[in-house]
Amino acid sequence: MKRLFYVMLGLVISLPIYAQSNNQLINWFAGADIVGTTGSDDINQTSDFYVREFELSAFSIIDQTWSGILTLAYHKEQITNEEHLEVHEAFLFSSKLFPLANVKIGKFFLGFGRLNRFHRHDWIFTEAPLVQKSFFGNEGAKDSGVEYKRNILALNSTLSIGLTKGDEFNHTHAHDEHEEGEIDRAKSPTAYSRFAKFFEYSTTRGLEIGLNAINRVDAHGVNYQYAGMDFIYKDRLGKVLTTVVQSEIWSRNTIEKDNDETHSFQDIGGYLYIEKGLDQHHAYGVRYDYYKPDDHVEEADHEHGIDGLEVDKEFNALAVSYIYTNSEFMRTRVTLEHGVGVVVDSDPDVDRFTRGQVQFVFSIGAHPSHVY
Amino acid sequence: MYIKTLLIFVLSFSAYGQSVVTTLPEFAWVVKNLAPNLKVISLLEGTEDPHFVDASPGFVFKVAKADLVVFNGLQLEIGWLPKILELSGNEKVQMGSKGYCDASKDVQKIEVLNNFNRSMGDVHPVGNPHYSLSLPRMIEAAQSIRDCLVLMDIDEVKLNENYKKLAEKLNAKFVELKTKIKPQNFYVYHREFNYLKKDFNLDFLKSLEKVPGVLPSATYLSKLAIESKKDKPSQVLAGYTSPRKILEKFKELAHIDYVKIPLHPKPDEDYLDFIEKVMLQITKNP
Repeated sequence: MKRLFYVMLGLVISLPIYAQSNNQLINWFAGADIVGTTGSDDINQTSDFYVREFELSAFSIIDQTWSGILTLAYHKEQITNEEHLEVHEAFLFSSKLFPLANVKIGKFFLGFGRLNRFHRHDWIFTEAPLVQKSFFGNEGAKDSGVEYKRNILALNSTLSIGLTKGDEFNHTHAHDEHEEGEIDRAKSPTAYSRFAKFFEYSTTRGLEIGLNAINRVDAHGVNYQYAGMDFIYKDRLGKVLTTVVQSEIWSRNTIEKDNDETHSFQDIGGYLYIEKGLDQHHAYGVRYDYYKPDDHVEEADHEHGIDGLEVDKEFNALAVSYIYTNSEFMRTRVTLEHGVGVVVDSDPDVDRFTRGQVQFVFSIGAHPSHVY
Repeated sequence: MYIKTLLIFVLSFSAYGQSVVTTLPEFAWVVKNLAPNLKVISLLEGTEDPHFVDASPGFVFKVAKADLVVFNGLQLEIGWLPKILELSGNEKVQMGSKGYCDASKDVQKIEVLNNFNRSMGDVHPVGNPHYSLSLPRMIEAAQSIRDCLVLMDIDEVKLNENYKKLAEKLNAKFVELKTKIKPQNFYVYHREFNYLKKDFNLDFLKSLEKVPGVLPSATYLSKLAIESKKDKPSQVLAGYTSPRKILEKFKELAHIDYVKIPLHPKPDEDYLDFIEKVMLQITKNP
C-alpha cells in the first residue's frame, strides 16, 4: 500500500515537469484537509489530529471534444484509523457533444444534492451532517457511470440525470468484511436526477433550489429510494460573502424483500447552515443537524457510514463555527458541536456528545473555481 | 397551461440569434459602438469586484445562448469565467472557438511578472488586469474585440469604419482630459489605477495593502500614516468595493481623505462620460 502511494506520488510529481516541457497545458491542483478533533470518548470519537484527506488532481483538454480530470486521494478513516489511497475521480468531460449540455463519463461524485457535488475539502463546514453520512457516506457518493446535465434556459434551470453501476455508491472503508479494494456488485444500476431552479436577485445575490430523486439497488437486492431538496442562498459584497444559507432535506425509503415478505423503512434527515461574513477574513456559521431513522432501523441491518454515531430514535445537533480565511487558498475553521440522541454502547445512560474540531484546508496549484 | 409550459420547454432547446455577452459593462459599450445591430449584455453591473464573483447559474444561462463572450482577461475573471464557460454547454464560446474573445490580447500590459508566487498576494503574473480605466489601452482592447467580431461574419468594412470612429472618440477624450488633469501624487488602496500613471503623469506612491488582496494590519497603517507626512499624497484612491473600515482608519491616523471610485461604468452608461467623471473625481477637478 505504502509502496503504491510513493510510486504514484513520484509519478504525479514528475508529470508536471514532463507536461511543462512538452507544453501540454495540464493544470495541477493539490488540496489537503487537516483535522484536529476532541470530545467525549463515549461516542468513539477519540481525540486526534491528522491529515484527513490529501488530493492530487490533474485536468486538461484532451482533444477538440473532450477534457479529462484525474483525482487521486489519500484519506484516513477516523474510526478505524486506516489510511487509504484511491482514485476519487477519473472522468471524461465534454461541453461540446450536445447543445447547452455537459456530459461526464467515468468515475465521479454524483451530481445530486448540494454537498455531494463538491469535494469534502470544499465544503462549507468540517464534518458532514448525519443524514449525509448515513445516506451517502462520509465524503459523498461517488460511482462509475454517465451523467448528463442540461441547461433549460427558459426556466432558468438545469436538469441532471445520471446512471451509474451502483457498486460504490455509499462506499466507505470503515467496514471490515472485505479485503482492501473489494467491492460487492450492485444488483442494478443506480439512477438519479436533479432539477435545479435559480432565482437571480442581483449579480451578487441569488438562490438555487434543487429537487433530487435517486433509485438504487445494492448487492443484497435491497432497494433504496431517495428524495431530497437542496437549497443555497448567497449574498456577496466585493470580496466578502456576507450571507450564505445552505440546507438539504432528504428522505430514504428502504425496501427489503425477505422471501415473500416485503419490509419498508423510511429514514429522514436534514440540516440548515447559516454563515455570516464579517470581512474578507472573518466569518461565523451555525448549523442545525437533524436525523430520524425508522423505528425499525435495527431490522434493516444493511447500511453503515454514520461514523461512530448510532442514532436511537432521533438525533439533533447544533454546531457553531468560526472561519478564518487567510486567502482564497487557505482556510481555518474552528467548530464546537453538541448532539443529542446517539446510542452509546459503553454507557446506556449517555445519549449526547460534545466535540470540538479545528480544520485547516489549503490548496496549491490551479486557481480554485468560485463555484456557486 | 400545459401547452404553454411545453412551448417554453421546447423553445429553450431552440437556436438563438447572434448575441454577445461581455463580463464588464465597458466592453459591452465597445461592442455596441463597433456592431450596433448586435444584441449585447454585460454579466456584471460595474459595482462588483470582478476578481471575486461566483460562477452563478444566472451567468451560465446568459453565456449558454451567446455567440461571443468578451472578457477582460489577464486573469481578472480566472475564478469564475472558466467555470461558467464549462457549465454553459455552449461550444461556440469555449477556449479556442471563434466566440472566445480575450479583450486584453492587443493591450500593452504593465507589471508582468516573470517570477512570482502566492506569498506576493493577489498578483496577476501576466499583467495588471485593470486596464479598462485607461483610454489608450481601451483603444487596443477595442482592436482585440474588433478582431473577434470579424470572425462572426459581420461586415468587415463597416466594422473597420466603426472601429476607426471609436478609436478617434476615445483618443479625443484622452487628449481633452490630458489638458484638464494636473500631475498629482496619491496613495491607493489596491493597484487598480496604475495604468493611469503614464496616461496622466499621476503618481501612486504607496498602497494601503501591504500585500495585494490582504487587509493591512493596524501596525502597517500606522507606519504608512507616518510616512504620509513626508510623501504628502493628495488623497487615497480606492475602488468601489474596497473596505471602508480600513480607509476610515487610515483617514483617522493620517488625516488624509479618501475617495471611493467606481472602476467600471453602469450597464447603460456611456464609457466616455464615465471616464470623465472618474478622472475628475480622482483629481478633484470641478
